[in-house]
Amino acid sequence: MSWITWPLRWAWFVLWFLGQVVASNVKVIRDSVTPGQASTPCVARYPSRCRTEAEVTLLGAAITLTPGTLTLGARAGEGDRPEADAPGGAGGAGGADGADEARWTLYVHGMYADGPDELRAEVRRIEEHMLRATRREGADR
Amino acid sequence: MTQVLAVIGQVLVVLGALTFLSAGLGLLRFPDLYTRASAVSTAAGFGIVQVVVGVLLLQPALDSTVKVVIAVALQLATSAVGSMALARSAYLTGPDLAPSTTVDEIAAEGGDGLTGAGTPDDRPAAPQPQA
Repeated sequence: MSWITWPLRWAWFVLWFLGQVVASNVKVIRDSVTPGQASTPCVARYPSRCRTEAEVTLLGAAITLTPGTLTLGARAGEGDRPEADAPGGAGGAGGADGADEARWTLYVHGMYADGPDELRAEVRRIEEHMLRATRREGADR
Repeated sequence: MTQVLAVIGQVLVVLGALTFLSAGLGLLRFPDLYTRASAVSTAAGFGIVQVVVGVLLLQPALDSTVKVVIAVALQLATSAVGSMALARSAYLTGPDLAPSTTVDEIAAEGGDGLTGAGTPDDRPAAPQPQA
């Protein structure tokens, strides 16, 4: 991917995200106007692949704007991967340029996910689409 | 053409109002603060956009379009930031999650993941009860 496709990638992310928002709005609205409670809330810890504050802010806002999922907070660094915080860690060629920066961990509340793993997969999908728009190289590294 | 736009606009305004109604219902009926915040965010995002775009279609004009774009962008940004600030402060200060909540991975890892205390190793030890 190159800089030429940058506006196109943003347009695709915005369109895809609007679709997601409409779909999840319908889900929440249906739950609130039909009898009973269909929600199975859970709180998941999501180790994100965001490298900058701008990316993690955008991801948190996107999660919150999708009804049914809510960002509870973000924390720099990953608790279970202390080597990610070590300065000058695994350098090297290629996609390792983010390996020695602090990663971000998000705490996400979800209403309709079937357990934290499914919620993480949901957030990961949003993140993948977002990173494809914000970065030249996309989400994969 | 303006007739068609007017009809679509009216439909959008009514749908937006119904979204607000359902958000109000959800606010009353959902079990805890976090699910209620999710219910309200349907009105704050979807509902507002429907009403504002509907009104634009009723009286289409270039300067109104610019205003609608700015209003929608600001509304989405501020409602997202506001929801996150509310949810985080709520989690830190007390109201419990609904009993139907299946897993809470913040509590599972010690409960202070949101305070920014750093990695588990450099957190201060929990105060011991006095003997």
